[in-house]
This record gives sequence, C-alpha cells and structure tokens, in this order.
Amino acid sequence: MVGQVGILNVGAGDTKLSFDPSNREEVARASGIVTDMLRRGYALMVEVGRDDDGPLYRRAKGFDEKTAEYLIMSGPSDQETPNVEKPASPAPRGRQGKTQRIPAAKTSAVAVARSAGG
Amino acid sequence: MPIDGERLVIEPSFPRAEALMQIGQKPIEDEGWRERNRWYSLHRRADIIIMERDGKIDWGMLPAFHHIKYDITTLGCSEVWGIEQEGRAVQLLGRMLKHRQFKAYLLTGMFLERSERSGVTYMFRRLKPTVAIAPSREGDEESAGGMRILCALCQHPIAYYAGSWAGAMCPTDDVIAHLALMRGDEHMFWKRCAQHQPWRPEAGL
Repeated sequence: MVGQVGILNVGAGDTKLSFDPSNREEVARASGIVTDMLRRGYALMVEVGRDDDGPLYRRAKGFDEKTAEYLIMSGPSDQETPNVEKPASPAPRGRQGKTQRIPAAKTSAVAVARSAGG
Repeated sequence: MPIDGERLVIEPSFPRAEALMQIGQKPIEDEGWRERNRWYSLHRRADIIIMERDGKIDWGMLPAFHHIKYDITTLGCSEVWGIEQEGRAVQLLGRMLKHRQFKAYLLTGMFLERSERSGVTYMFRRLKPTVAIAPSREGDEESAGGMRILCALCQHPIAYYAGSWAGAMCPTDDVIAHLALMRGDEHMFWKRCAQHQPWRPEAGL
C-alpha cells in the first residue's frame, strides 16, 4: 500500500499526493506540500485505523518532514465517554497527551482547506 | 471560478482572494449608512437592521429568502463543476462510508452518522448544511420522535457562491470535507461552521 493524501480542491477537482517509499523525490515533494498546507491552516484528517463502522480519522497536529510522519496528539478529550444529555461543546483544554507518529507511506489522509464561510 | 452575476466569497488567506472576488462585481455606492445593529425577528421572520448616518437612525427589514431562489442560483453555479470531478469525489466518499451510508447517499443525497464522541447524530446532505441532531432533553415537549435539531452546520472550504447552496468545490467534496472534519476533529468542525438555527432558511430545512 502506498500512502496518499487527497486534497479537496476546486477547478480540476481532488489532487492526490503519494508517499511511495520507492520514489524519494516524490516523497520529499509531497512532504514539503503537506508541511506548507498545515502552515496555511489546512486540516489534515489521517486514517489511524478501522473499526466495524469504517475508517477512523484523527486530525494531524503536525508533520515531520524528515521522516514523513504525521504527528497525532491523543489528549484527555479522546477518552471522554459520550454524554448524550449535553449538546456537543468544545472539550475542556487540558494537558497535551502523547504524540503518535504515523508514517505517511502507510496510511491515507484527506486535506481540507480553511472555510470561506457558509 | 468567478461567475457573471454571482458573488464569489473566498477565504481571505488564499492568494489574490480580494481581486478574484471583485471580478464582475459592480462598485457599491457608499451613501454613508453604517449598520448599527441587527437581529432576527421571529415575529416577522426577517432580519431587522438598524442603520445610522450623520447621527440619524433608521431601520430596515431583510425578509427571509425563498428556498427556490437559492435552488435556481445553485443550478446556475453548477457550471463551475465537472462530472469527472464529482465522480472522483463520489468514489472517495464511497471508500469512507459503510455500504448502507453510501447507498443512502447515492439514492437520496443524504446519509446519517452518529459521533461516538459527542452522541450527536449528523445528517450529511449534498448541497445543504449538515444537520446536527441530538436526543431530546427530559420534558422537551416540542421535539418529535425523541430527537431535536441542535442546528444546521454550514461551511465551504476555499470559496462559495453567496445566495446559493453552492461551494466552489463540487458538491460531494463539500460533503467529504464535513465528514472528514467531524470524524477527525469534531470540535474544529463546529468551530469552522456557521451554525444556523433550524427555523432560518439558511439551514435548508
């Protein structure tokens, strides 16, 4: 499996970046683009696993360009049990959890640009 | 892509966003009026706007738009999308959904997904805001079927066409953006979206 990032885009449609370990130039180019996207405010949703309901996504908080790995933070809000009596609200900000590193070559991701409104 | 007669709204951080938004727009004559306040009147079902100029205060009413107007404008904006782009987006969405969800989307343009994190159920819709639904609170007599609508969540990555349901991306790409954000960072999803009350026409309900 070759890791891919699908960038949701206008005009010609979705753009795909691939992290093929056998093509170092392509990996370097894709790594640079992902780093730039994160700096510009894109949200990168990385597939971190699958369950019976389908793929599980987590937002990448950073990207290590040297090792081509997504940096996923797991924090206290992730262990919070669902409370159906309260409407959805921002989770209380607490200490940062551990950083999980996921190689870009081994997973897929979706990149979402900043919103223009709605 | 700018369309003649339609107002394109672009996220300001994109290069040349301001210049692109001005294409095809007529210059607005500034008569000196400034908006002082605005609120929604349930009684009149309209926005009430208080304006001020040179110390004089006046008011106006902005009635709710008719749904069909947005629909027709959206039809016009569909010129910027391509069948190929929409097809690729549908394929990507198909890889993200369970079979029943994907079938529902292909046949109805909508599907449901419940967030395990918050307990909120989301109705993702093509060319309409996503509806956030939660179980009713105890004693809530107005809710139907034990569920209540929290709000309609609307956001268009990159750009959208004002006065329509259309984003600059093809419709299914907008749905993918909503779904991916909800799954990956629900907090950010709510933060990025405009939250429309269910009785407002902007909610598309």
